[in-house]
Amino acid sequence: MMKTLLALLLLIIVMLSFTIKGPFTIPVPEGWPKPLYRSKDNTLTEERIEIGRILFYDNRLSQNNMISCASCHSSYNAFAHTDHALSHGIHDAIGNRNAPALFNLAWQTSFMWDGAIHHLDAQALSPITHPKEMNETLEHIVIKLRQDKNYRIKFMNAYGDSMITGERILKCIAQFTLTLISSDAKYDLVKKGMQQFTPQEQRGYRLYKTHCASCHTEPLFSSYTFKNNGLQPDPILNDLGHFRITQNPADSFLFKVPSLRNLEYTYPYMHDGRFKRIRDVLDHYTGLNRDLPHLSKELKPPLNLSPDQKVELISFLLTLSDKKFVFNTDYTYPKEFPYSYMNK
Amino acid sequence: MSNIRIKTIYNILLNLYFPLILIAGFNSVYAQTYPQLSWHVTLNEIEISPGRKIPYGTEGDSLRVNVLRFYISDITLFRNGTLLAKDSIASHLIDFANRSSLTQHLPDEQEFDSIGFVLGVDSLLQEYGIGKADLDPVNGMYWTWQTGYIHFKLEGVFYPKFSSEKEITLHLGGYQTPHQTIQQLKFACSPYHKNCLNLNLYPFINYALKSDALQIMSPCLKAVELSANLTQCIHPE
Repeated sequence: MMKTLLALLLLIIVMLSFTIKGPFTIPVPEGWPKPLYRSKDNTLTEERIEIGRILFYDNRLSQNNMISCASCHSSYNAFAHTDHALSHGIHDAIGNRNAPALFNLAWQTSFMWDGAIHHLDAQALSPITHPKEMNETLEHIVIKLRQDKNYRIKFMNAYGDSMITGERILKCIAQFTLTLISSDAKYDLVKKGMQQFTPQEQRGYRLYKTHCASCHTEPLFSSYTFKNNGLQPDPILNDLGHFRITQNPADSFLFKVPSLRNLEYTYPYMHDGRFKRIRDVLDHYTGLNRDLPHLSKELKPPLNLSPDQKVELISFLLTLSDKKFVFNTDYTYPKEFPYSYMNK
Repeated sequence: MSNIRIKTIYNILLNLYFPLILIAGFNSVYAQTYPQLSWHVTLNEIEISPGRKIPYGTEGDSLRVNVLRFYISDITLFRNGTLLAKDSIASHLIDFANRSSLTQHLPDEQEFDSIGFVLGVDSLLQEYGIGKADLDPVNGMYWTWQTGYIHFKLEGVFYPKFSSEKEITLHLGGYQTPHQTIQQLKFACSPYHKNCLNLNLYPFINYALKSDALQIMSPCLKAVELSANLTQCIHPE
């Protein structure tokens, strides 16, 4: 009898060791600064990250149960969207901006092209409630998910109780997106001494350092500040950028500097997706009117690149493509989660 | 109904009677012992009820308030200007439609002579993202298209006697300069009584009408002005 009990106890301990995964620390790649994400009450754990991943792919986060976060942020596009210049959401409504790529978010303190959101924990609320994106309320999502037994179990494992709240939903999504770290491009391997640039890439790297690095700073390849890059405002969208948030006229038409990492996967480019090719972007910067009144100071000096130099620069930029990140199955659709839509 | 069923129901009721009496007794003692802060919302002397049209002033105008919600944070008790105790709950959501939210139990301190709090959500709290319970964004008090909590939300309709009705949507918030709308308040009070604060919306709405500021849905200078005005409308009863 005693032996049976002991065996049973051992079995339970072994089983528990498989189910309890525990805390998660954001890995900091060599040579990178410390993550900037801070939260008083959002301790990262494997269980919560897993919920976040499931939520990220769950269509029930939209009003018609058809659109998920992943609809506009595809893992195969470094969590951007390449089909359209402007993102499209519920009932094929066309939004006002190009869906930004999602990676290395732990090193950012403001989100969206205009910096509307100051904390990653609150980020998902914006697309969820936007009438042209998911058009849902957090309150209704809570009601939908509370009916799902599988979610209740997941929350029980993650929080010690099965209470599904708006706060937890948002924080779990934030946790999953915090794990989206892209740091395994050829550039990174070169920095670690494991690979070498080709002569063409090396020349491109020098051009990058001369002309691009002040805004697209290494190793994240963005300063994550707001700049006016000289784009003529689209008269239909009339997007005022950072001004909308600060109401400061000096912030008109300023947009967040995106990272150059994974450019290969994240076309089209710019906040309104107006350029389809990297070459178009370079042409914009070389042909820019430098006398524009609010042009960022970094773009004031003339930029002359020969066709060969453009090719060299592009060849360097392609070393920032992180295949390992883009095809990482930890980030893809969670096939293992048995969706029990409304307990059906 | 069978006798057995009646007997079972009788037993259940009997079993519930004493615990319920005990709970009610405890609540009553608790309510008497612990100092409280409660809110009373009026339009001058007239009590406001959610969704009910009431006279506004003496000119024949009227007003209907549909939504009135606001946060108070960092409740602190003082004696002779010295801090005695701080509320353990960071922020309370006062929701006009939820009667129980109109009263907050204060820390168990019998010697205080004044009470202070922040009208809104502390900016430090906001820096850390989103909170739980009353601060859960599910309560509809977190801006979705931009960042931060809405400190004060008033939605309704103003019906002038001689012109068409005017929709009121005042979502006042903002925690970063120059659009900081958080307000500090402090009142003299008694520890032995239920401390009741009166929020008189009349001067506030009057100010909003005169400033032509009936539609505010983002942090801006008008929101700062209105928030400052709001503090003038809160008085101990």
